[in-house]
Amino acid sequence: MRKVQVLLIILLFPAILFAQGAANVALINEIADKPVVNTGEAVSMFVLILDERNRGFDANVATLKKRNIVKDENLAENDPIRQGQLARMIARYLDLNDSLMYFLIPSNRYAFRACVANNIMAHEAGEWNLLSGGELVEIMSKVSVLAGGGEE
Amino acid sequence: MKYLISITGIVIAVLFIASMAFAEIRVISVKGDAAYKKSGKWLNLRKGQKLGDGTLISTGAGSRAVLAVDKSMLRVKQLTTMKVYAHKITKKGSNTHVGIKYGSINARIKRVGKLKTRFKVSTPVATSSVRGTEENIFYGVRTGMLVHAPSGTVWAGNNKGVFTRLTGDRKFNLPAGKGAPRPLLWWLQDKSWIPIYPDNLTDAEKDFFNNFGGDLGAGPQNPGDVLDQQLEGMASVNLIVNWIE
Repeated sequence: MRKVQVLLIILLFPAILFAQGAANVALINEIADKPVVNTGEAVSMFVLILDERNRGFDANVATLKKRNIVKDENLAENDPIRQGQLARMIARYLDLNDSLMYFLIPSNRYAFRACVANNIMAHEAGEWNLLSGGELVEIMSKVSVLAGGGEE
Repeated sequence: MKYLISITGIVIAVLFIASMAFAEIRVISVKGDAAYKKSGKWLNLRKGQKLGDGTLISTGAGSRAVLAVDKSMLRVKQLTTMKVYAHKITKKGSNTHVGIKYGSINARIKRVGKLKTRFKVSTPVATSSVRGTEENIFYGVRTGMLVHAPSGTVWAGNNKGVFTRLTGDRKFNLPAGKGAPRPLLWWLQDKSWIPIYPDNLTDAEKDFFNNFGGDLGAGPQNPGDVLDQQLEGMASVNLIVNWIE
């Protein structure tokens, strides 16, 4: 019986991974169409950039905490994400410590400026700005390229 | 003799029909998450799959799909959603039109025999048109449309009066909501800054500027400006500029 279960898992694993691909694409397209994205959606996008599976908000936050991308901040799934909050996660992930002010004061404000200096975010916007789905996808695409995960 | 003419005619007709059938888009390779939309559902894209007009294709993070459009290659890069609007081969030529919703593609266009080959890529702000060359096209909500042709000539424009011919290392960038594109060499501006230090800096101070110099004076409200102003002085620099068209 145990052998059958193991065999089934081995046989089904590629099918599960295969189905996951289209599900990830569907999620990204759904997020891209949102006029304002929330923290849960931003966290999901981050997890996909890390080449991890999207397993729901709590598990995703745990993944980001494990990688030191999220630390002690309180994240609520349905709250709209501010550009500064996302910049802070990106600055930690990409280790943007070569930015002087962020190096001295690692706040959302200077994380945002570090992201602007690295051409990830636009200087016209501010740390308190909300993000649309299209903007989130564009930002995360740049992050993925800088992290070596995708072509420019 | 009549038979010979008839047979020749039939052969030509068959060859023409065969060349019409050749007008197809086929998936050459897939890396990571790549899907196409059918009946409102996203389904995995498979190697060797044929795609028809109106197919929506999308890639996930760190993924890509390579499509063969007759003899041309279309590389759909990560986090891209694009649509094949039309792809036709007629007696007059080959006509392909794709649209990018967001993301980036690389297109390497080759002529089909001696036919005129037209390849258009549209984004929400403009359309680029290319004949027998390579181009990179990006569209993002913030950046707008970005076109770069590493070789050959590309035209980019829209129905609001924008019409630009691109060659060499020039890059077309039309941000959303703007009436005109940025100067074609805008991207060189950031790359042409050269660190120049006053004579009296120590090695440690030069190291500091190497590490943090990019921040100083980067924004008008940056406290680093104060430092920058204190160090401002006259310098004479000899530059040799090799301009490659």
